[in-house]
Amino acid sequence: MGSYIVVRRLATQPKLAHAPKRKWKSVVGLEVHAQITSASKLFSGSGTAFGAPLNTSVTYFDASIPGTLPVLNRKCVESGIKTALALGCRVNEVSMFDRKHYFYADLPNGYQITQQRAALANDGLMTFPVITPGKKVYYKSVNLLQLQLEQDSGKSLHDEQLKRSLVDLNRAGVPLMELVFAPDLETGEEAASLVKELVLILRRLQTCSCKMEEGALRVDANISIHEEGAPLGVRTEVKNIGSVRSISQAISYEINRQLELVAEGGVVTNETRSWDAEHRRTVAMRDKEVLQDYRFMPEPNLPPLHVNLKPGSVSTQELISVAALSKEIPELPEHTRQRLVEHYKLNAETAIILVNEPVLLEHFLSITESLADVPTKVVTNFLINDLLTYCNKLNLDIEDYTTSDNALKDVLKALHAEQINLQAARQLIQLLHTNPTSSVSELIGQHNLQQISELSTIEAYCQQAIANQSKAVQQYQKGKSKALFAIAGEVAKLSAQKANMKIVVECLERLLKK
Amino acid sequence: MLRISARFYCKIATQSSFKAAEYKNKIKKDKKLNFTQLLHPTKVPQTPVPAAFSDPSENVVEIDTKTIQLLERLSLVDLDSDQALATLKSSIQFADKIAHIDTQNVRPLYTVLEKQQLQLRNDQVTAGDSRAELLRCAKVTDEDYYVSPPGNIPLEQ
Repeated sequence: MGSYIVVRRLATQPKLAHAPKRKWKSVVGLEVHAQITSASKLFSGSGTAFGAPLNTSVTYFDASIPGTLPVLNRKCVESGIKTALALGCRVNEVSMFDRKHYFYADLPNGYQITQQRAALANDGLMTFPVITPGKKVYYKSVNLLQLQLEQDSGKSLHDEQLKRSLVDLNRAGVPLMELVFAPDLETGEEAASLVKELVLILRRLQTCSCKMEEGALRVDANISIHEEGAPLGVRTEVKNIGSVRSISQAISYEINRQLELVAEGGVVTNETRSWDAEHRRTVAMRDKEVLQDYRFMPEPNLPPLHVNLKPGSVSTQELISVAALSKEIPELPEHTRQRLVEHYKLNAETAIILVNEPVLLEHFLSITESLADVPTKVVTNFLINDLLTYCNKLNLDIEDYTTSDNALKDVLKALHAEQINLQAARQLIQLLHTNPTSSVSELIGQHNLQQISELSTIEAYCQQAIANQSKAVQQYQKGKSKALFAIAGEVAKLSAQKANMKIVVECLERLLKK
Repeated sequence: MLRISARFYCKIATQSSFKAAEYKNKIKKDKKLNFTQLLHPTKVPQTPVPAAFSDPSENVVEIDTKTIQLLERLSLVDLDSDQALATLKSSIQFADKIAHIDTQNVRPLYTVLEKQQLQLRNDQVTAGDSRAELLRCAKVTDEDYYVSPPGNIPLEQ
């Protein structure tokens, strides 16, 4: 078997080498299902709490008992409209509900109530920064084709050994908004950046918790490749992507899989694949190998949903006013970035990093407010280069680094007053993490982190360093100014990283000039 | 064109001044269905609407044997007896009326309730925990789960 593969590879490779170099383009479109934050379900009065005991948040309607009827949850409509407005959509005056039929054990009705012919909103646009490690940040715009309200299905657990599925209907009927984006993306990083921005927006609007680990935000990606100038290729759909990081990995994997498949003379088939996070690959799924006919039909139990589009109108019990809801929309992430650039004179990339980590932004705003004399550059450098880097190194979510603003303020205060140096500040980030109850001044005292600024002590260190680094001293005196760093480094080492480097450099320059 | 009059719809259930007790008495007197069991107001007409259609009863329905066989296969209903055949023919004749209605220049409706506004419910938990009752309806359950045949799972598992 192994030798067969080798032979085949050898046989195809020369052909590839002779083939004219063709440019392949990848096309990615996303469908995002976001659970609308609500107390009760979309069409029934049962709760939506995550992790409720099995099958306890289920009304007769959710279990599809004959004679029950859907009644639409007002808050879900309002949240859908708010989200639509934030994403620049046209909200439709009349939208309708449809039944989408498919047969599955966790869908007791045999159909899902969704919006197909006339959705709540259409034609939005999302513009977001794309962050690719090691590349320049750029902005990308993607059209939002449709935003629709729909029900979630129940949850199936697959029991491999006993060849059966276990069904929990707690999730059946939970409100979702499905956002269908146009295939305007090209890479996994762009897709991940879109989702990241969407999460920021939905969290600001408080219309979705965006907890991917709870299934509150689910992303399906449609991926195809085609030659430049040729029509779009056959697409595959990747489901089951469980984190923002996986989005970029899953899509990059799938693009490469298709490119390799085509390079080997294969053909991409229209199929649903699942992302296997453990082995970092996409896997074909058994179902949906043939195109399904969902037999869409109007939902006869729900008259059309009307909203009031008149400017200046107010909401009534019967009719929701879009104009009234538009006033409730908070500042959106992109606006915050612009404000940071204009008001605090931050550069664009710093603003993007701060806004993308809401905790950092909170720290930044609170620190700059109370420590007005510390330059913003020092604050952002500390938060991004030191705090965020520390968390990334530990693979720790910045939101889980629990410390008070005050502790961070104290560190920055000490740093700014030259009581401690940057090395000590970095050490304090770690100490505050491991000793969350200690105060900064206590930690500085306990761990002897005070910066050494006394001239006499520093001069002694410098004399020692000059003696130790005679080679560097010679180079420096020959005019190689960079050699000073080696001597300064020696001072840092001798002083256990505690010397005030500004004074050290001044002192060294003075001593060596003599 | 579209002619929907307000009187087609259940006035009682949509009125906010609706008083259940008063209505109950009225039902007792009128011997009508008890609509007080509806939890939410409805937009569905609660009384039948009489409509006049032209009666195409002279169009006698004829069905060939092939069609009858097809219908039997599709419906799993035995149409061998004369009575069954007569019922089928009269059903078709009854439904045939609809084909003779003049629909020129009439925009198709998705629903007869198209001009109605959908009723909205406040976001409150009002029901839910009926697990014991609902699980009792299922044939196979295990530790509060419904049990079903295996569903779609990755091919390589």
